[in-house]
Amino acid sequence: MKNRLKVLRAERNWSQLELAMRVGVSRQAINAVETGKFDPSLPLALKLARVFDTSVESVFELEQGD
Amino acid sequence: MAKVIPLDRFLKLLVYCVIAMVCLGFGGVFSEHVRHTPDASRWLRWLAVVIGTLSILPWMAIVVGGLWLGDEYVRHVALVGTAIAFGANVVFDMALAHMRNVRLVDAGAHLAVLPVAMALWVLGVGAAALYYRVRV
Repeated sequence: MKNRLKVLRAERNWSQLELAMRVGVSRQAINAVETGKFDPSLPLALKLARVFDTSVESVFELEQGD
Repeated sequence: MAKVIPLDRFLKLLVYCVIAMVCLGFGGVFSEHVRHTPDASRWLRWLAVVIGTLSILPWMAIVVGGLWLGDEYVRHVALVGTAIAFGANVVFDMALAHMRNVRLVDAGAHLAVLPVAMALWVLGVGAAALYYRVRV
């Protein structure tokens, strides 16, 4: 699963820690999601979309084979 | 979530750990005491079993509490690590049993179950954390 977290963060000039605090998880969790090592739960995906004021589909995207 | 924890929370955790250690120690000491008491009644022996078994619960509560405070990523890593530790524990037990069978170790040889399980759990969680860190 691809995601645009890094781009969305950069647009807002947020660090991983700042994003983590906004959604209430650890920086490690954000790093793991951002690098594609860990797929977030639906509630976390929704929270991430909400803090970026966008939809889940514009943050996360399925890759071929997913 | 910050990496540091406030001093009051740390002190509270320290107190819980000391209590858990005392409970664990008491369970073992009581069990040993009953073991060396030849005329111990059946009830006393069962009491030693119950106290000895329940003495691990405070530690488990600390571990569960720690996981409860963590986020979904921490819980995921812990879950994968626990699965790894379970597999490692089974392999370890089988290896030890076969070592006894082929007389590589004494037939009465046994290792303390709890320290081995704890060490394997820590190693399992560490392996899971490492896997998620280096995974491409």
